[in-house]
Amino acid sequence: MTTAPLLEVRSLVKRFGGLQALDNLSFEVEQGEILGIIGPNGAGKTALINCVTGFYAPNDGQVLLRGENITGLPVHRIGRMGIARTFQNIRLFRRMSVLENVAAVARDWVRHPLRSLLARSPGTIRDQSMAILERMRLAAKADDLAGSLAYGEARRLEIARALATCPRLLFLDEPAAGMNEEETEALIGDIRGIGELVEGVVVVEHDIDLIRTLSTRLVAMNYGRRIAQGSAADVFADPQVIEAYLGRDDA
Amino acid sequence: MLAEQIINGIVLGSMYALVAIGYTLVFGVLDKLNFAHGETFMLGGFVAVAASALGAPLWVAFPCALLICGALGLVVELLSFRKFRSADAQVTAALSSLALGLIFIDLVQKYYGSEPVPLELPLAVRTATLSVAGIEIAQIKLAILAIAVLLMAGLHVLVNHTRVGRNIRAVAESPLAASLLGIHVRLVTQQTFVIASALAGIAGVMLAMRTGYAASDIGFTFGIKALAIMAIGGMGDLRGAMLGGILVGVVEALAVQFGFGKLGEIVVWILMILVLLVRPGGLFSTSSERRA
Amino acid sequence: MIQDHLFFAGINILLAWSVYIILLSGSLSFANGAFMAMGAYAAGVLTVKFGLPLIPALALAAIGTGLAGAVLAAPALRTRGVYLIMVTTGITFCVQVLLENLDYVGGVGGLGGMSGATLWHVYGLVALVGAGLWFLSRSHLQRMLDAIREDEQVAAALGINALYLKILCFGAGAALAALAGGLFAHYMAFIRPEHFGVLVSVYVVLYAVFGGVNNLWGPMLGAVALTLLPELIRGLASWRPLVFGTVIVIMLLVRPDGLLPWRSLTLRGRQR
Repeated sequence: MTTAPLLEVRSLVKRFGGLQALDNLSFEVEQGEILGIIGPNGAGKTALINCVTGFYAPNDGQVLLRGENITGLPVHRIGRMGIARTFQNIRLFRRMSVLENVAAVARDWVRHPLRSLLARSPGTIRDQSMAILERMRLAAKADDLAGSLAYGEARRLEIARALATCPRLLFLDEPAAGMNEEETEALIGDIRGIGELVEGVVVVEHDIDLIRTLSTRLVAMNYGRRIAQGSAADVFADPQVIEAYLGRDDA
Repeated sequence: MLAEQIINGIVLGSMYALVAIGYTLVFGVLDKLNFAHGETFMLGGFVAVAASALGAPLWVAFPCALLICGALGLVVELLSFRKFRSADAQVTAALSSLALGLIFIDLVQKYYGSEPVPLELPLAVRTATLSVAGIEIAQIKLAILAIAVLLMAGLHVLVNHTRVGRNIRAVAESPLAASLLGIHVRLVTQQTFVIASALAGIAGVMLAMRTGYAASDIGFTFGIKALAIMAIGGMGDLRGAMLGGILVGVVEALAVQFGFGKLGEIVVWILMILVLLVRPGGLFSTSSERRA
Repeated sequence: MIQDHLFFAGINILLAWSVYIILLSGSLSFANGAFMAMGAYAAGVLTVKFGLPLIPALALAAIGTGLAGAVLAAPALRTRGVYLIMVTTGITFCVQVLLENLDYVGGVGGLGGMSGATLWHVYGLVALVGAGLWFLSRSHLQRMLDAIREDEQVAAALGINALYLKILCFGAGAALAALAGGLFAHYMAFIRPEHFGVLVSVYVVLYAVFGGVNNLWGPMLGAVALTLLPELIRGLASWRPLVFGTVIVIMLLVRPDGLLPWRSLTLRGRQR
């Protein structure tokens, strides 16, 4: 019986000096949904991801994964509990091969680093990793250096690497940034496919088109607060959302 | 005498401060450590020895050290920093300047040997004292202190009230923004190295005058302690380097006074480690946030 | 003479590897001279004052120093890059000053009476550690370490316990440096704190950097080349630090990844 939502963010507060990055932010991610989070630049979207994944310690509030409080846990613990993420400014292991990027974080060994020293069956991990690369259309590049990938490929590898940890919940931080229309189209397909592997996906974007097609539900943020949530149609009709987007020059 | 030891400490500390300022200037502008800086300081002492061997009057060593060590700063910048600009080349630049420092040491030892070389000072200079409030103080110590204070005041004016200083501060703030404003970042970097190295050279001359000899190993004893002092004062913080230098000079002098001897040296390192771990902004900073 | 050079080359290989092990997780340590000193003194005290045979004394010294290294690493590894260089340099100075003031081990005067280390010991250990590092380089663990070295935060976000592995590497490197120090002490018969000054730490790091730190052969080659070449080429020995410094400066400018820069892939895709 899983009554608790997949992720619950309860009145999260994060301050940097005088700046309020997150101001009493609350929302939930339900089983099986692709939740879109939108908001203009500086609305606190990346701060939110950093607080949930343990990069920042929030000043107040809680983050619960299936009802379990994970606030303030070390980054790697949160990673192991099933929250994986990608980065807005792509951060691959650049001097490792594409396959190694995925294999290095393979779930089974990450938990037992010393046991992995003695394990002599790289075959399984390779097959699992190759399967993930295939899903993200990167299998042909398996032995290339990650640093040599084109922009779109690098973004896909970040997603592939996150999948290698077998996450329950995946945070994608502006996955389409810098992509052209064609690449974005293909990416939408990829992310939909991922939805079958994980229990939930949170996509943070300010590209409105991508989020409108992809997400099953939306949360709109501005100044660190939730200003609207619901279906895409509802959220984009909300006067506060319209003002946030028109009032400030973004896109 | 306690008062005398405190004065000794302040004199020593003022030299620490001059060297530490050089480390901190370069770190402020480039975010990199110049490990050859201690050796530039060491060479200052040998400039004084060479000048006096050539029969030049005492004061000549100062402009000579200023020029020679300043020029050396340009060499260090060219060989160990020019190519390693990016943020992740921080360690590479440190290693390269460290190796360059080893070259400086060996060159000096090739010519002067590894034993300290005495610096001949006129008897009158060595023995003259001044009585202040009942304490006899060697005039040479007062002269050193006066020069150090003058140099620091000069540096303060340079950094805060001139175009060169304004550019240095701009690059320290953000090299990218500075270059967008039309500031020639490489030129500013070179200026910084020249200023830092010239100050170290003069400090080297003063230490040689104070102790009566120049030694090829002081880069790795005195010089590297100044590096620790810079960290104590806050990496990239000018005022911190000055205060830190004086503080450590006095603490060391007092450790000698109270019979701790060389154990006093450990204080600097422990203090540095604590500051780096607990208060990366430096002992005297108002916020505890790390400088980027 | 030849035997001396070979012995010190072997010691330097071990020391360069002790730096390499710590670098596997992305940390550069200038404290390995201090760990060498701790191993040398600990092993020396155990054989001279407690009459232990050499091998158990070395083992105990390595374990003790390894633990001490791990304990020191836990706070020190909160810093990185040049900050870590400074913290580890500070550790080296502290250890040296403490040894100079510790009368039990002879203070500035030094500790004597050790004996028994031979070339066989050193090169046996080189073979053993080399085999271990080779085994590690083929393992999944090294892939995780590579990930930490590339981007520690990202590795942690994906579940790798970066701090734990970094501390582990630091302890292992400290233990290896201690073994080298213990052997050094029992070859030299007499050690003083000044044998383990900050310059030793510096040289050892530069051996590794010269050879390249992307594979285990680089540090080995760097240590051997920089220890033996000046002795082999007549007239070069007296210019040693100069040659050494020049070679490093030029190397960093033209070939920043060292003499042997490659990093071999530990895993390949299906298609060859």
